[in-house]
Amino acid sequence: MLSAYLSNVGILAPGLDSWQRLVEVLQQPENYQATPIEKKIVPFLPANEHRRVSRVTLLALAAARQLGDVEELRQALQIFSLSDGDITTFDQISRALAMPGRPVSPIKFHNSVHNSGAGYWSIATDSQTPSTSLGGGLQTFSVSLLDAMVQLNASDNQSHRECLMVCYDEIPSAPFLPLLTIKDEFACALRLSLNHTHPSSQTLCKLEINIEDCGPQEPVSTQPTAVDTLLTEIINSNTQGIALLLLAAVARLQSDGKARQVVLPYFEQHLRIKLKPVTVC
Amino acid sequence: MRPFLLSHYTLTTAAGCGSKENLRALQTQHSGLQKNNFLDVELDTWIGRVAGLEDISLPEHLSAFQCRNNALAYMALQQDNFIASIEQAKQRFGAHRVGVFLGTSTSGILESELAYQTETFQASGQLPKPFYFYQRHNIFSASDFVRHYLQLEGPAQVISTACSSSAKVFASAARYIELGLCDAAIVGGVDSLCMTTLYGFNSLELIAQDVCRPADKHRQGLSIGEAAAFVLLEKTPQNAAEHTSSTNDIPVYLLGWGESSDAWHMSTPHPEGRGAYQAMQQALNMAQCSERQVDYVNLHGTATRVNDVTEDKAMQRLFSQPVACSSTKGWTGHTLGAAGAVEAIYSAMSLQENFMPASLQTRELDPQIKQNILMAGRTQDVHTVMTNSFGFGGNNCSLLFGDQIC
Repeated sequence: MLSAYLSNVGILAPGLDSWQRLVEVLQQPENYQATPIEKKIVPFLPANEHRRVSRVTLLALAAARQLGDVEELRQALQIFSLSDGDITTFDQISRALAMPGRPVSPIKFHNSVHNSGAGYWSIATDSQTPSTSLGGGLQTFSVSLLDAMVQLNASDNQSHRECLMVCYDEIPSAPFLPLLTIKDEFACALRLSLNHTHPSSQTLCKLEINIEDCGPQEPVSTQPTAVDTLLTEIINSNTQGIALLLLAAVARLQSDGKARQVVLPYFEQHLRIKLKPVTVC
Repeated sequence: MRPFLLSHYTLTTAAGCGSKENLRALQTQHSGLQKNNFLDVELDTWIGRVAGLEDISLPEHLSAFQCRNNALAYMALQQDNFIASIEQAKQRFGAHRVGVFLGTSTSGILESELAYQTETFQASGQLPKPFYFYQRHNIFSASDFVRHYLQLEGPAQVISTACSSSAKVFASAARYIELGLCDAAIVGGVDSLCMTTLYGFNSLELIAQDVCRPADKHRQGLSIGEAAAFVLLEKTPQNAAEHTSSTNDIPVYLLGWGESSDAWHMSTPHPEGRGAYQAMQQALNMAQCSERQVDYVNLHGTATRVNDVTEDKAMQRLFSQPVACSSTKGWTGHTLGAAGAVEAIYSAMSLQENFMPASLQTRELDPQIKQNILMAGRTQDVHTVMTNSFGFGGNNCSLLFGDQIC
């Protein structure tokens, strides 16, 4: 069993632009509106970098930026995960490759790497910590969460007490749209730490994670609530949306103080995640 | 942390199919590079192309995965009795206790690139149906394919941090094993030729017309290659001596690793190699190994001026005296997301054969380079080897291997 403390959450999805907003929506789902994410995402990078960077990377950076003070975050291990990569840039390069002379843009080429988001993050924050960019197909969120817990708990990383984990995917460009399940943008970021005595932000809860053979054992409610319906809608709109199963449980624990469990698919097995309230000593 | 054992390995590169051919190529200085003849790519350059890849068909039940990248993985897995070693691991530990941790930079995107070039796409803007995006194009495809083919059910991931991808998987898998999430893992890398990388590196003016000449005064840049390399990594048995006596092979252990970010530029390393230095230093620290114990370094050595010089600067800071080193990219080309695993296996071969390969294709040493670049292969005792992998996004990883536990 691996454990860590969740100290902050960042989120950027239609109608959701902060952890606080997500908590409000879960309390009053009738007020939720799927307002598209602004075309212009608040700059975080220097102007010359911001101009070059692609949309999917901006999503990741904006979600990560919500996690707190950059001076603290730059000490954290970096995990950036996406299923489908920068598919807009792939589309642009592939169109260039189909043109006479194949005029591929050097900036688009370096943006096309799977670790583009991580690279821009480290440059913007001057973070020199180890940085991992992951893919796990449709289970990228589970793969990423487990990896974050592994990296924090591994003995070689003892000098790093915190990890930031960002999961994100964009709306695919037109040729891929009919093929993929993604219909909307989604990015979320978790700030995880080995200890819960964190200087500036309050710990949300403790997470304990296990790989298990057995599937979900919670009774399936026959009458979905308005919140269930809403969550299902967002979860179905993006590969990373499944993060909301965990985040909704964190929000409920925050409101009632009760421990609970979430089970996420993990290939042939499952991840069982226990959420426990943190008692302040 | 106890070191981890590389209990079995295989690789296929332009220099050869399987370990024996690769070792022979290293010892006889036979390069796998050839003049570019890939598809209709008109670039005047050299490539490290794996022969016969176009003829590989995946087993019928896995035909959805058919693409150049997975064909290369499949071809490599057939060599060196690697599959038999995986079957044994499954029997010993159970299929759900064997993980798959692979690195790639471009997966099977060639399939999609080619689809964009078809008349149908040009006319309709639509990709052909069925289009196996997740099985071919998606970055996870390589691990997904290997898990399905070998019927493994343990933890899995793909790391894609450009040219450090398949070095970092060694660290990642070792952590999962240490924390008890699996008992053994296939670690490795697969990357295959595609147009994005050839034209992309060309757009950055990093591709050489000539063969790549690492550390050479007149170097022009990269030769792009393709490769698949796989290692079965597991815990070192309590009685390590027992293992050696039963196999006759010199054992190879993963002693340590270091990972860092340059935080400098997306496609250019830090001018002083600050991230490279950190990665190498951490690998030594973790192994509790002195820089003086390193017998040989298999360099990242891409043969771009900026890589070679910054890597050397970082090494000047780390090593009190010039260390014997060479880049093996003169044999394979730069195999990008597979380079870390290919060079990890070449490092293992150095330990087992007590052999340090030359810096193939290097004719006149760049006087700026201060390390001891090997102009000829050398046979001598080799006990500790470091290998470097540095990628776009300023992503660095160094691995340290040895034939004994420090």
